[in-house]
Amino acid sequence: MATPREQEAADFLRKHKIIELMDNLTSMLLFHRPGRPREFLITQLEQLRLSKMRSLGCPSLFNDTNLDAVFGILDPIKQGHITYVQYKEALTTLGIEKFNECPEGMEKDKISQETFRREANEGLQRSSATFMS
Amino acid sequence: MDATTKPLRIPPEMSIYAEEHDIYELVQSLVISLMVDKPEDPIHYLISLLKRGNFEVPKVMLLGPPFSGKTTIARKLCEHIKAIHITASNILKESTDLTKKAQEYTAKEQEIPVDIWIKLIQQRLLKIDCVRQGWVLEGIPQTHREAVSLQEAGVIPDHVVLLEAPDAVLIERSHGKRVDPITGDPDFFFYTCIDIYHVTFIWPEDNEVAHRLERQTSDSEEQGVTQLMKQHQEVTALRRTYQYCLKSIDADQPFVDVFDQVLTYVLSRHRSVAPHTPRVLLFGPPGSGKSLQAKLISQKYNTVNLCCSELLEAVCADATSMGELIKPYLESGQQVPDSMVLQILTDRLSKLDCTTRGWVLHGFPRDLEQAEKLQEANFIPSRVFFLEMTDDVVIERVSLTSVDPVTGDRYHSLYKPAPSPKVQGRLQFHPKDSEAQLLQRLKEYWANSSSLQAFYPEAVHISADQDPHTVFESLESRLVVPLPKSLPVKGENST
Repeated sequence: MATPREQEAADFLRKHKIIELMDNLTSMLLFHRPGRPREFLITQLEQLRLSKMRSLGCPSLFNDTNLDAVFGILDPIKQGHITYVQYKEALTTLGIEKFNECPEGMEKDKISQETFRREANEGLQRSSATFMS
Repeated sequence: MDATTKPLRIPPEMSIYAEEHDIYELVQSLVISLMVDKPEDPIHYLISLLKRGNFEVPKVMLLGPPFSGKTTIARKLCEHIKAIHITASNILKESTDLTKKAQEYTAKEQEIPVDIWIKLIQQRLLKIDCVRQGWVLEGIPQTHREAVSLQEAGVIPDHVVLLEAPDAVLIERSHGKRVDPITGDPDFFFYTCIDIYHVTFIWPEDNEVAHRLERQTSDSEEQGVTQLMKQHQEVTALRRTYQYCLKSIDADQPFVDVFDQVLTYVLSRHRSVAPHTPRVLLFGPPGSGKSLQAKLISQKYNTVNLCCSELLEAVCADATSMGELIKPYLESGQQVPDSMVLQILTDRLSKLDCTTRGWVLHGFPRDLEQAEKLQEANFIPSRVFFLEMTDDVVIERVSLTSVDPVTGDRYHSLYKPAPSPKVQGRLQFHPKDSEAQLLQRLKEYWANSSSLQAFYPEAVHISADQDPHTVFESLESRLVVPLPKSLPVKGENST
């Protein structure tokens, strides 16, 4: 049974998505390994704040080249599309929790590279933009 | 994309980087501050928090009964760690609206209400000097209620020191307390930076000062006793409130000893739950117990135990190309060249089990050159231990060890003699342990040890002249706890 203060604390964490924010920041830190971690964090947070104000893209670890590479692994014979199961697995592996379960091309079980890239980008933006409460 | 079947392999650079820059502690303190302050705009708050700078500022509460020496200790502590000294009196000396209100109460000789008092404290601690340099609260909080209100207000110390002494000693001290009236402000009721001396314990060096010392009017015996009683009532509750970061220190010792203990405690870092892969180097003269300690550590913490000589022999026995190369050296008893040893070691240390479980290495490096090469190969140890032992103990330990070839048991002529004359008869002594060779090994060790000690300035020195479990406990206590903070250097700007 949580005390009222614990409840308050848990609510605060959830409302502002602090855990997700910290996860993202830590991943960035460990990936880029800057010489001065605090300055790096300040830059990332400023960028996040700017994107919040101007609805720009948020900083995230994966860019289009990465997404194309992932698609290339799933589709080695270059058919130009992947199956729905592959699509789901790929997005989960990239760390995107809430993605579009019904993307274009689902009926034929052929998700095109364009759709994949778009859904992945949207999902990544949603994960990074932790301020959208 | 079946990442679930293979374990996730995190590159070792990430864990080294994280440990080097204390990333875990950084994120942890960010989250703690967020939870305490609960700002509306966390991103903006985090940016200002990060810009503000130093996270590891001291936050100390110094508690204890009257006459235990709190003020003297607090002042000296602040000198050393460059923190701000906060007492009940200097909080009231501020000139804000809140303090004026509080002063009205004291003018009427009434007690200041707790909520105003707590707000005053909070206000003082939020000032830029406390935020930048850290603070030492002397004698605050005095009651359980104050402590709880402080917690609610978000004032949380990292270290709480509780000075303790028997009542008789304290009352005795109260008689001998003298103050230098000139350094105090005679118009103000509370004493701010008066120099406190004692007839027996701390006598001023300057004779002029000694002549003008007098007793404080407020220190009558009666008042002293009432204060003592009050403190006794509150101390159990205070102890309970701060049990996670509290340390009791016996104040009934010479001042220098008390201060040393307080300083060591305040500089220590609490055990953290940050993920940590141990990378341990063990140095020591032959017979100091390096292999035994390495074995004990590896057993308990599941690290990889690497003894350099055993590693070389294993490689040799493996009949690989490297093994062929080093075989002639091992057979003739010559030392294998550094480049080959380094190659073998780096191969072994880069294997997955070493990077994930950590390693304990002994037998390498033997000299400064090897240590530098190890560093260049980017294998940086997180702890370095020097097991210290005097030469005569080494000779006694090593030259008298022998092995029973039949059972494989090791005996020692002094500490663990053979059980029967029959066993004694067949004991064998290793030529390496003979006194002549031992002296040679010792000479080599001592020749290199000073340069190695200079190369690893943060190394811990442990006396190996004790029984193995005591040594292990000392090793462990330094292994699992983060390294203590160092004193700030004069003039260093906190970043």
